[in-house]
Amino acid sequence: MKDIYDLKKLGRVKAPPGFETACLETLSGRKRRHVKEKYIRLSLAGAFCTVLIAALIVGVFILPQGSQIDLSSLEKPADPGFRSGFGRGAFNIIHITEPVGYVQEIRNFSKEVPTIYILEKVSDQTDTKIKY
Amino acid sequence: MDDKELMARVQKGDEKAFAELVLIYKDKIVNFLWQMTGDYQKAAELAQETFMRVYFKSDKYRPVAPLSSWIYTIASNLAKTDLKRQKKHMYVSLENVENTLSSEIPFDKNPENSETIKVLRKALNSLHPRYKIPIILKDIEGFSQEEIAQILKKPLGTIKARISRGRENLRQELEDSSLNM
Repeated sequence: MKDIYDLKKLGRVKAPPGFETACLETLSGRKRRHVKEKYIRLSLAGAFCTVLIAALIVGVFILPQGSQIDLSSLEKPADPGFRSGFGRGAFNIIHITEPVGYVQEIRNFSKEVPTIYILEKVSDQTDTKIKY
Repeated sequence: MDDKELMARVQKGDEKAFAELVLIYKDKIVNFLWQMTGDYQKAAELAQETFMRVYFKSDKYRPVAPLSSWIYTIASNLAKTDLKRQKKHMYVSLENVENTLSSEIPFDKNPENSETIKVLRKALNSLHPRYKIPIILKDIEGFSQEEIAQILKKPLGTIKARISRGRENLRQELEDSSLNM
């Protein structure tokens, strides 16, 4: 059994003839493929970046900005009892914004006599000093 | 030029150094892969793939371990992947195929003609790769257990256990074969 177990008796093979040449040829082919793949990857990355930048430019500078919706300009329904057809929950338009004429307020303010308000601490003690 | 200098040149992309490396290791790697797969054609293809990976992954090599260990690591990983793939897809009895092709295989020594050798080959092929690889590296390729542990990236204790178990399985297989003869 010792004799048969000796694995060194098994055959040893050599590399086929022309193995090194075949290896070098395969190497050249793979190097060319690597370079090609690298260029394809770079081109795709470049194309993606270009598309992204173009989309940003178009989105920010070229497309019109969305106008602010003035809710107060929305017309009230002609019929106060208007029902939109959604059943009992009728929609009434609620004015959220109210235009304020600041100019008018300032003008009114300047014509009025200024009123001075004195803030006084209410106290039971009579000898407390009043501070203005 | 020693292995470290050779590998340093390969890392810089020197194809002549690479050709020299192939010349040094081609027979050993082809033989190892043939012992693993039992198919000479497959062994030659896998050996070529091994050297391609040696070139393209040369930057991953650190001169801490011997270059031969690193190359055998790549070769054994490729062999393991191939064996798994074979197992998944198709089982073909290689006995008859090997017999017809053995005359075409360039044997370095001990062409496998005798019946004893064939029995030994069959017993070795019956081992699980877990045991077969360490046995081949130890008893055929002549690596030490420490080197095998480096190649297979397993603890030394595991390698010792696998070699011992593999030899036991091989002996059992040979005993069964001799009883059947």
